[in-house]
Amino acid sequence: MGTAMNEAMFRDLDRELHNLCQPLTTLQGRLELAQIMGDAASMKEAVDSGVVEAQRVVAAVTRMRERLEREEKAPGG
Amino acid sequence: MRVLVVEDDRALGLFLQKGLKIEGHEVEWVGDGETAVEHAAQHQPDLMVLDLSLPRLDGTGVLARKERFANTSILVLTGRSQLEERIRCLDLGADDCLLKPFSFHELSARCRALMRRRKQFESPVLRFGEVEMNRMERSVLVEGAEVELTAKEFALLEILLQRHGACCSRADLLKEVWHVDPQSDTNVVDVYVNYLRKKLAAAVPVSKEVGPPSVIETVRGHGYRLRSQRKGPARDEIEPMEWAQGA
Repeated sequence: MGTAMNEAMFRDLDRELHNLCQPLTTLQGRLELAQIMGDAASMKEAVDSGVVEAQRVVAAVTRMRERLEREEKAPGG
Repeated sequence: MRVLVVEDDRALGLFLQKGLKIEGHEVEWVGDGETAVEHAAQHQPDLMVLDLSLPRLDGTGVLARKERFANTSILVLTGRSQLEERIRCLDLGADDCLLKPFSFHELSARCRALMRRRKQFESPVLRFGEVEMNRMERSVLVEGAEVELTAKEFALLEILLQRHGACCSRADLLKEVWHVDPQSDTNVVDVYVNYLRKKLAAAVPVSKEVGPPSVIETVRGHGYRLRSQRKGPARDEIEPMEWAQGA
């Protein structure tokens, strides 16, 4: 039972980790591109995109935290 | 370099497209595996930047169909760190793997490395249908008959042979052969394509059994591509092939 639950949690966290990687890659890349370009328009684009991607990061972290809390509260957790 | 980005995450796909364009590449972006396979088979890009988690057909499914775009180098992007997954991708035909999140500088450097590797192992001989070009000897054979070409005609044919039957736009040909602004109002491409057509056609007599010799085909409103010798009547013009839209 415990093993099956751990496997389910592992799958969920693996999926969320993947979800976390997407906005982090975009965020890092947009900032690097703005550095390369160096103009005001690119900086603005990086900031605008950064806000959106940061929200996606927060959402993924929240889901991971909730998943861990559920696991802790579960019988035998 | 012509790059196909395959990524279902819109923000990431757009960023990759923009970043690689800034690096000087010609980049298209599609959002699912099925479209990626069709696009790559039709356009034979130099490099595919392939995400593994895709709708319709996942990244490993795309790799399993690599024979349809055998000359395309593949850089796999993955959000999962399992060693087995990376080994599987490399065994299926990927040339490199990159773990997300990554720096754009690293992606760009890996693309350059892949292209250097391609050039290193590139054969001096290009073939398509009945046309064979030896870039070391600067010679062109059509069904074994040598064809004398000028430097520009040679460069033009080289680009078309590299595309291996995929369409090449007039703008691309202007940029790659004449190194002029692709938006230039000139018909130099059409003029040279006609010179080339005449020289290639003159090298081989038309056979009733096998149809017309290999020619350069016009893709209406877009550009040109090579057509291999085949049975049936020649078509002067065909409909353009549109690059697929990203999801």
